[in-house]
Amino acid sequence: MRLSDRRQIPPLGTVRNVALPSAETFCLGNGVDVVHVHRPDSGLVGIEVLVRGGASTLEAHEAGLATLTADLLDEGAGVLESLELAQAIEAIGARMSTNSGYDGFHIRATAPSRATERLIELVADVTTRPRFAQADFERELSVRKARVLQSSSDPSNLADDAFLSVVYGEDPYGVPLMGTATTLGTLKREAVMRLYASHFAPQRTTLFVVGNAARQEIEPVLEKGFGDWKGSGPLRPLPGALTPFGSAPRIHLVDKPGASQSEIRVGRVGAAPDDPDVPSLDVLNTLLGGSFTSRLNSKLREEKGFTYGAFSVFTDNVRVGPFSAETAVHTPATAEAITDILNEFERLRTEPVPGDELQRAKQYLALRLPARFETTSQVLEAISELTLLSLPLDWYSHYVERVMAVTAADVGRMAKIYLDTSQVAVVVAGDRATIEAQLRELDREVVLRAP
Amino acid sequence: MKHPAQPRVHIEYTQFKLENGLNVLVHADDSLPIVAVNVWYHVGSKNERPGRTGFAHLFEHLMFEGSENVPEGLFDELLEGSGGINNGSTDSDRTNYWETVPTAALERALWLEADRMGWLLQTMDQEKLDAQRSVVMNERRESYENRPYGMAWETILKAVYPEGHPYRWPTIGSMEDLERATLDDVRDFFRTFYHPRNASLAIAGAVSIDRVRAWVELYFGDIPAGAPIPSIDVPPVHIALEGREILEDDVELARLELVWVAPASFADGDAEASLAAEVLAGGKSSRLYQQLVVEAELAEDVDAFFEEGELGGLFVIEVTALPGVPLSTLDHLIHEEIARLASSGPTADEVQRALAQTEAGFVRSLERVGGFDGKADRLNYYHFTAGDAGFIGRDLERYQAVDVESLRCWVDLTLAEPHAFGLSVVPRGKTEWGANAPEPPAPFDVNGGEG
Repeated sequence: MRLSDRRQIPPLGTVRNVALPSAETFCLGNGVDVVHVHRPDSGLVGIEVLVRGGASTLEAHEAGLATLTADLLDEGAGVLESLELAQAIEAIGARMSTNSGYDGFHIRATAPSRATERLIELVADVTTRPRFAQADFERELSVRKARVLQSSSDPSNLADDAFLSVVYGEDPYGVPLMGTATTLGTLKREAVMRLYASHFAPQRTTLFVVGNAARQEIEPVLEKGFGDWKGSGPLRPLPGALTPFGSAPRIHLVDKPGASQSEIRVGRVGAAPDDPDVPSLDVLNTLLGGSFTSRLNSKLREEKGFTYGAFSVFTDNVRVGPFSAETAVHTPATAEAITDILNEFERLRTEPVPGDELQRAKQYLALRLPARFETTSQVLEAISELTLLSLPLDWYSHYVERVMAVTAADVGRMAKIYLDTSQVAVVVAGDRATIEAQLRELDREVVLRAP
Repeated sequence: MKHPAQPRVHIEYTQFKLENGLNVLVHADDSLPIVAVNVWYHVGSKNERPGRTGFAHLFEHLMFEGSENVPEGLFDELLEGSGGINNGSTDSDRTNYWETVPTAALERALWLEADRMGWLLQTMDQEKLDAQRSVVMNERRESYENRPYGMAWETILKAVYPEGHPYRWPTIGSMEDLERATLDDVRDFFRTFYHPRNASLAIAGAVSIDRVRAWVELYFGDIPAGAPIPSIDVPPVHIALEGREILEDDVELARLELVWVAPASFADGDAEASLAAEVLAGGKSSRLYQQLVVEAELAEDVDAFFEEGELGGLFVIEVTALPGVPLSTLDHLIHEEIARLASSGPTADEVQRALAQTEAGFVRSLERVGGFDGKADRLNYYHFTAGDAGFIGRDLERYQAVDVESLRCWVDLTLAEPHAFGLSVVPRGKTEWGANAPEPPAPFDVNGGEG
């Protein structure tokens, strides 16, 4: 068979929709919820422990305490000291990470399937019986201080930290997760132990298991590891609702002398995760900066050659996460790039999206769905995120129809709120000597900000 | 020595070759209705010449800008609208391009790949070259120049590889050489390297072999085979004496990179090198982590890795000092630990842990059909690098065959000899924190013992 016309775009075949792996939920004797996804052919097992709270329960002077506590969870647990625990994890081919975000602690581990039982035991020890040894605390604190020091010379980190602080002000979502030299300076081990006790309890905890073991195989092992756990409390209250608000339309400039690129962030507070308009926001974001062919990337990278890449994102936090457009541009192009970003906001706000562009964005979101849940880690992170955000586990089964139903009017409606340029802040980390003058020519107040 | 219960890995595939020499590999996996299409061209930065460094990677960018039957912009628009994601990468040995799409879009993906393999130059022009040149220059700024420690690797390559060695320059190239690239260079490069004879196409996912065969023949069959690519001269690489350099950078923490010449991919010692990297600084139980981070509290972190290459590899130990710790101290302690490992060897437990991590790494990469290091990428990797697409099982067996003595022996022969190069990256004004060369050896060694 010969090809008659190579210019013809081949047709799309029949798209097969897949049911995402279904999850079963059950409870351990002490109240810990378990979400289990059985994947009989899986070569890996993935386990996550989610403990609600995280850095959003901290006072400003405690910045860094949640992530430091998380770092210490796997420095010795149960009968195993720090080195022994590391050896036990590595010996079964496992990887484990212990983190805190703004809304919760995450203990995540994966290993080849045959190590399922041992992995559950190790994760249970790390969750319920971390040792918090003094020597480990001192060392981790000193390493953390060094990292914060190092991060202060990375223009991308400078921009990120400044952006969150500008957008959220005094709210815990605006405080750096890693802490600062000041807040870390006088931290004591007792603060870590108190924070642990004030968070880690069965009623704030959900376990996630994804793997080839059936429920009847893992349930007794989970009971053995977690079932006796009570937690000590008293628990810190979880923070209350955050009302979405805009930002003052200023340019905040953090000096990074000699920088060959400026790191730019443009944005504001975003939407709540259960907002019924989330599918429309996903489409809006895809159009603006959520794909390679997005408005921002096409303009700043492909057309103007200012950058290696530009994108935008609505981050999902439990209360209201941030919305930001981000890029790093060649220093001399800084002011023009900011103008271009704000122009793209305006265009989406005032001009209806052409039909083919809208269709492409919707199909990108809808047809890409099966590939997003291919690996153990992808499935684990998806069910953990849904749970943290209090969304139903079958949330994705309606996603395709919701996205395909989004109209240009819906996109316009969302753009009027979130892309209102009088309500977004601009943050720039770059070489002040070169860019300050050009920034002051833009139609915004310029504020200098210490790093 | 093989343990009877050791895991095995395997990727089932069909292989055939078109008349024009295009190698085709097909792996069926119907876990999800998706398919990965992956093309490797056997050209990388090693095929460049001084004065035109960075060209292979710049050329990779141009492959996305349209071809005779695919107007500029359609490549990404069509893939995204079909629910696909795509990317590519260039290293010193090869350039790869991949897309992961719903199975329904397989024909489209093949059409796109075939058109740019056979008909790229027809629509190539100065504007496209200039635009992508800007993008790549920004990539160089973002990933290297404006990033802490970003210029270390380039400095190391110049120090280790002699003039005329094809690994001497970084894949990103220099700004000066990028400026020099012309349209004639683009045409020559395409004709020399981008043809079926120098390419391999791997397809993995929910596909029928017969349908794939028919489409591949239809879309790729008409592309002329092309000529064998020119061979390259590879001068021998030998670090004659311990060398040290100091680089000042916008960093807060000093970092030492120690580099040894190591085996080529799959050559003798390659498996030992990988496992030695795990034992020395793979995870928290590793020798150097325990010694430098935990016990001595001199380092913020330490890592070791084996940088692979078809023409030869590099073994790297990277240690970041806590503030105020001189890198010479760390340099000395690392060499002491290497000497211990070289004389007494690792323990059986250390080898077991390193192997467990390696085996788990194989299992992790087999979870995905697409993307970097997914199954389609792996098939192409083994085809080019080992001469056998089905090599994965034997690849793992090579690691499983490493024992205490073979690892000790490799460390003794390679790392314990005074043939390392060390680069210190220090904060500006702190050159005294850098590590200097140890005492020179006895006079008869001065010329490095070659010939």
